[in-house]
Amino acid sequence: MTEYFWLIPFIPGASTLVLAVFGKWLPKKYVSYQACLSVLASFVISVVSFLGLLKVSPENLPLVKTLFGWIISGVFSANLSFQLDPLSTIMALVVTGVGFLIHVYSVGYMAHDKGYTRYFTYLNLFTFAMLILVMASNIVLMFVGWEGVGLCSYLLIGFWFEKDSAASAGKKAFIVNRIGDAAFILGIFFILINLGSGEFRAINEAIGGGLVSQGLATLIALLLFVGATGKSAQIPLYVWLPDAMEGPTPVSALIHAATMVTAGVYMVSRMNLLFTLSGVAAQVVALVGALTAIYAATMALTQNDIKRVLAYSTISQIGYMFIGCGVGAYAAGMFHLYTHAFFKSLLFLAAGSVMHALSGELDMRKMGGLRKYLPLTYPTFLIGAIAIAGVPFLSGFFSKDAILTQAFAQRQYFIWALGIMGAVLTAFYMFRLIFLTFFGQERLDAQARAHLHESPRVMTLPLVILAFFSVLAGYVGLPVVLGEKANLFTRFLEPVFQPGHEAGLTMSMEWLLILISVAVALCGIYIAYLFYLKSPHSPHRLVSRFPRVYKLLYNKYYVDEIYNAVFVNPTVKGSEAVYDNFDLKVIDGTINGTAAATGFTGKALSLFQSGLVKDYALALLLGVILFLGYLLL
Amino acid sequence: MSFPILSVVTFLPLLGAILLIFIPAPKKNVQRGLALAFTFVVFFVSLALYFQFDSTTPEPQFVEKAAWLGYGINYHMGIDGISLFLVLLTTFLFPIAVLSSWTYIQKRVKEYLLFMLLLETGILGVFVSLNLFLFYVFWEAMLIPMYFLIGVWGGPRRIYATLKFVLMTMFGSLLMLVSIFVLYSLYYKATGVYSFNIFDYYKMILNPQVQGWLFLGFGLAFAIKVPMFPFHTWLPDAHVEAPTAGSVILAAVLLKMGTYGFLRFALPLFPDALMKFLPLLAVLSIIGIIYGGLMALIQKDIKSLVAYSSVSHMGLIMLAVFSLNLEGIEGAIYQMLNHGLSTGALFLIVGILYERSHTRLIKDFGGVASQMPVFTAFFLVCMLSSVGLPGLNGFVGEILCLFGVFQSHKIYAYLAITTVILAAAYLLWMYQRVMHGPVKNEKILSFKDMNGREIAYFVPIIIMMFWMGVYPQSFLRKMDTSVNHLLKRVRNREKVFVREVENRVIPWEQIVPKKRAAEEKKGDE
Amino acid sequence: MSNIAALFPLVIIVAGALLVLVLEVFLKRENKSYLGFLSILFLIVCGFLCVRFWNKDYAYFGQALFLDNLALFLALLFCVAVAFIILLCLKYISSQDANHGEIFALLLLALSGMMIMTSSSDLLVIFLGLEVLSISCYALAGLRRKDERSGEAALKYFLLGSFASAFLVLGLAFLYGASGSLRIPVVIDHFRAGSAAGLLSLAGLALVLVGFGFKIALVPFHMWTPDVYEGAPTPVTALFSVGPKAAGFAVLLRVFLNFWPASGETGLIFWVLWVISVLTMVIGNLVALRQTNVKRILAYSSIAHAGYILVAVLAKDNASLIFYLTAYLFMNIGAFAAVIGLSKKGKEYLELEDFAGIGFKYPWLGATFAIFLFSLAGFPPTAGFLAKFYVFSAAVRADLVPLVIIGVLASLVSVFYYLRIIVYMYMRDPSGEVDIDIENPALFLVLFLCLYGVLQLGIFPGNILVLIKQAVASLPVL
Repeated sequence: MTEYFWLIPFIPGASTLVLAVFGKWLPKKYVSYQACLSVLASFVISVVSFLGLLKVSPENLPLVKTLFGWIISGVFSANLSFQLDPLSTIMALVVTGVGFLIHVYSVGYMAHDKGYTRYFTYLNLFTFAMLILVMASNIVLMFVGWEGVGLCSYLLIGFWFEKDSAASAGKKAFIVNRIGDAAFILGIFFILINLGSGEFRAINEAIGGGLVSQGLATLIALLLFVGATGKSAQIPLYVWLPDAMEGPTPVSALIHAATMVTAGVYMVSRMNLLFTLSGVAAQVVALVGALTAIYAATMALTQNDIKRVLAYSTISQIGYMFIGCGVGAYAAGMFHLYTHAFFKSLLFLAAGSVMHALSGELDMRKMGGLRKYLPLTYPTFLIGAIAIAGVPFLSGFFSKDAILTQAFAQRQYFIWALGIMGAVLTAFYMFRLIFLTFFGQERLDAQARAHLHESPRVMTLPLVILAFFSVLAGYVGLPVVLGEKANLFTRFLEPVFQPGHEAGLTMSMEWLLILISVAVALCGIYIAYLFYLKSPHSPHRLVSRFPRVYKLLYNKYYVDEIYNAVFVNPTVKGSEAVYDNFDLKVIDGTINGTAAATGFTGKALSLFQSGLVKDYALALLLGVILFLGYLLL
Repeated sequence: MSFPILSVVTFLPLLGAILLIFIPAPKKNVQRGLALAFTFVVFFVSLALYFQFDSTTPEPQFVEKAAWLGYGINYHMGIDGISLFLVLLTTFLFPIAVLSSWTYIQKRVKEYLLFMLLLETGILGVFVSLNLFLFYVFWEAMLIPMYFLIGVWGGPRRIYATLKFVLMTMFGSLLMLVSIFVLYSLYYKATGVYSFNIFDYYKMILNPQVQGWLFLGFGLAFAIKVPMFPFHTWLPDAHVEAPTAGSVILAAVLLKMGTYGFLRFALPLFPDALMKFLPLLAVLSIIGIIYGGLMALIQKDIKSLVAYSSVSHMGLIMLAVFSLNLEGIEGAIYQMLNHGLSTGALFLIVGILYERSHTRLIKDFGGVASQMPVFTAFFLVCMLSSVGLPGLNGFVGEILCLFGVFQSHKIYAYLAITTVILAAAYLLWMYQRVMHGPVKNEKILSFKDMNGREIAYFVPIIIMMFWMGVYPQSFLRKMDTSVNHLLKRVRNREKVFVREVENRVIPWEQIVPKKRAAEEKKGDE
Repeated sequence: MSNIAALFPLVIIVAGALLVLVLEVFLKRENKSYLGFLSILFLIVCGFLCVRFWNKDYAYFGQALFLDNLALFLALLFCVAVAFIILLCLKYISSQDANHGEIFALLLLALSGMMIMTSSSDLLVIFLGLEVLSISCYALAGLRRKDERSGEAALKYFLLGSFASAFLVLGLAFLYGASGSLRIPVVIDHFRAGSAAGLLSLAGLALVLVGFGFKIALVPFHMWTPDVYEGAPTPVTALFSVGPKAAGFAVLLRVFLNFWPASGETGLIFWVLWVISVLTMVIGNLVALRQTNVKRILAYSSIAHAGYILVAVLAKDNASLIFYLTAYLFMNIGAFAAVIGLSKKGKEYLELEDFAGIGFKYPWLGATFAIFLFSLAGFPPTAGFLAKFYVFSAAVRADLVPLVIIGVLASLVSVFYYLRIIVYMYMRDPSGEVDIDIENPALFLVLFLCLYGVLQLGIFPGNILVLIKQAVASLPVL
């Protein structure tokens, strides 16, 4: 049954088609069933193929299924072909698994929306595109998925398009991504021209065969990475993600937390040989990742919008994944991607559940003390927070620790330090979130207070399941200190990432690092406790102490404003100026001017046509004289 | 000679036009029906071209040749892999154009349809002629119906627009005519035989000096038609004023006559001159891409926005043509078809909006999406196809064009790639302002969603968009031989590009021969 | 071979003219049109003879009058033209109160003049023909006695015409003095002999050129054209615009056919003609741009066309020249016919404004007029295009590329004003008060025939081309 793995993307695809064409006439109930089951089906196939894959011996990997040649012209060739290997399997599992839960959750969350069918059409389409992205066996097809998910994110962010803010956010996301994609395309071209094929196997073999110079590798890697910064919201192209929160919450959970935004990480891991070959590129990845990690975390500190806090935290967490890739610990990076998928989507869905309970309230300042009202949402949310904060024995701890350990082991102390700081901040703002939302006195406004209620089963069930995984998902990737073979995850991925020179650290060192990160996490939480439970006024004191800093953070370093001032407005204003002064005046002017001049000459010449015989005779005579004169002299 | 299919395809519309004359004016629906029937029949007949087409030979096919006026002026038709799809595009779009003007045109329906049919004959003639004289006859004759379509059924500034269109186009064409004469006499002086046959001219090796002048003559005519950067100003005016179907045909097919001209004449006839002017032309194309995009960004009228987007798209196509490699030119041809579909479709979209609101100003719209769900879906797809989203037709052409350019000249590609961003910017922004946000005014509340007829003519377009996006093989494979042949013709006289072509790849065989071979087999099946 | 038969066509026309004059006296005002039919009868007979004489090369009075194929072809052409004009007159003269039977006689006389011009190789005889033609033209121009514009036109035409004739006579005198003969072959021989009396003969030739240049309205001898065309009765204008032009060019052709290879000074004359043709094309078209009276527009357009035809003379390509004349005859008479059609009793609509919206109001009239205009502008698939095509391609073959470029650009300018008329006809809303009486079968017959000619010549000119080839082939190259 493994050989049918290529069906995985097409089941949601088919479902999309049906919904798109016949959706108008289909009953809600049917729509929700079809949407969810199609994803479930893909999930089942993924699980089966996963099990099948365990039996396949590494040298036969990857399994490839070529459906037909897609774009083939000269040396440009891209097939419609999919591949199954540990990496794509893990991604497929995450996408379909988490995706399914979120589909289910949406059934409840979107129950009363008039765009119900449209919503599920988009959601299925997204799953389809995302699966193409992760299962494509060549980079061009991967780009198809890459753009496809971009489209879905555009559509879903702007799902409530009557809201201008939503529409703009969607547009922004798409355009910013396009900037990255332009670079990505160039990367693809370099690969196709210099390596002769976009098939990942071929690329790897070419690199393995030493056909790629380091410089070229760097060039390609960096171009591709620019694409990644767009898709995965890293510096400098992260600006779209916070606004993306305009979309429905489940969408934020699926697309802007669990799956799409991590596509960049997947792509870098997929291209790991390339990045490793060019040390520089890897270094850049790590650095960008680290900087983003801490930078985003600082912005998360001051936000009051519950979803925006999570958005910045997503940016920051993806930063960690890139650190992993950058320092050569691709397995660790992917591991964090995998755990993050659970706890971050959990957090978003829980946040969604809170909103649902408060009839759409997002502002933490209008919450507080909710824990007794939301018996299921609260604990799950808490679990998510603990997991992301990096408290031991939950998934987040293992993955983040793996990354930081590797960073340290690779002597990237600076990166490591940034990571640690980021960890403190993470713990802090997550628990700030928890405390403001579920503890302290209630700050609800009346009508929210009125019908305050826990969400329906269909929404809470996914929360519980995700919480379960957020706790346990980490145990497939225990740190080496617990035994060489402890890290099943890494071993499973070994066929893809050639056995990374595992950190040559002493046991004691390992333990030390683990202790540090634990300590970091705990103190982050403790500070939050001090600030927001013990003495709720201390934040204000702090703010009044450093008003500038607070303003800067609160306004997200004014980056949006800067981008508008530097890129957007000049383009528009400039174009308008050119249009008025050049296109209309100069070019059009030339044309019309010529016409006018011709007409004028005609007018001038017709003046000779006086109508008087003597003038005509004179003209005739002159003609004769000139004529003869010319001939005879 | 077998069944003269090309003549039938070309002149059937003319026959329709003649019949149309005898239908009394009040019977509007009969007239519409007749025109529709004829365009349909033409389309179905032309389908035979596709299925009968032999993609293994570069030679022209379905050739019809008959003596006409003597002195090398023959009735000589035929198509190859380059013109095949332009013919099909034309025959495909005309029924749609007729359908789209079913209610849009209410006065002088008969004359309108008459000119539409004449236009179809003219355009098809241009694409199938292999005799320069015949080509020029169609090339010029085609202007007359377009002149009336814009001038009679157009908007307020229609007269200015239509005269500008005709005069600017003719300016180029007349100079081209002179160049044709020069070729004609050169050939006569060289061989003592009169000929207007393109393939005879291909055999001539002209000295670069002469080539330069002739190239200017031809190039200018085509550049104005395309239109390339400094000659583009007739386009927005013509588009804004023309009736919907007029814009559709103008954008979808007429502009292609320019690019087609470059491929058929300018490149193979004057390779040396081409090399001389290549940098200039490339730069103009690039300016066109960026300039068109930026201008589109800030247009207030949807139609002129789409018009400027055409300038940008055509710029890319020209650049790809000048890349002079297989990928580039195949991409260019493919992109011609895409542009025909998506831009044509966008003009239809504007038409539908205009029929309901009688305005085309972006600021008068807003929140239309909530009123017209079906329309929204179609609009979305067309826009995305124009943006070049993978899975739709636009992507395939765009990526091949850019790839071709990239191969022959990286810097150009770096500049041209901006179209990826710009296209998204101006189209999405327009889309947002028109469709999204709160409903702008109560007029929009009264908008009816697309009716059966509108859906009927949109569905085929949408289907084609997906088909061309998902399975381009069915088109690309028909071009290969012809394009290769064309390139050989250009390169044989010019070494530069041979080099560029050779040193571009590490031969794949060195890497993993077997797999590659296997893939290619899969690819070609 | 010498044969009295050579006189028959001419005799028939003249006889017809006289007979018409006589009968005119006895006929009542309202049925003068019988005279029209009568004269058409004569034309038919004449035409028939021309056809019969094809390839026979009859001649009489020595070479003074000979009917080679060129002469016959042109005679045929003139017959057709005059027939058209007569058909146009039938209604016109009654509705525009120019109801004089003389008009038919005068037309026939003019025709005889043209025939004499084209069928002689003796410059003196040619001059004779020219005068016959001119004088009847003067009379024709002034036929609308009540209308002072008509009188003015006649007077201007007469004064300037005789002025030009004076130069012509002077030129003839010089030539005679130089070469002792006026028979073209002899004169040419003299040139070939070299420049013994070069200056004198050159001057003579130049003055002769001026004389004909005036008839065919070359710049700067064109000034009379617009006024006369505007003033003269429209059908007569139509004749002016094709008949004398064709005759004049035929003479130039006969002269220069042998002149080019003959003389050392060709260079000089050649460049003069070059300049003249440029001026004619450019000025003719430019001035036409700003005219608002359709007759004036057509007048200037006819000047411009003279320029194009002159290009053919410079290109030394007789076939294309004759073809151009033929095509021009059909499209121009057609255009004038349409203009005549746009009139009612006692009123002609000649201002552009009057044409607003008539295209859809009178579909057939409008459509045919539009087609003639497109043909004049040189759009395929019409005679006008093919004519320009032949002329210009011949010119390029004669290495006159710059001239051709100027030519096509000039014709680009012309496109504007031709299309402008169409703009008024189809793209402006009707101005209202224009109502014409469409009841004019003769006119529609002419329209239809011209339309047929324009399309036939534009698409399948095969047979006519063959005739033309034979016509020019028969020219005696000395």
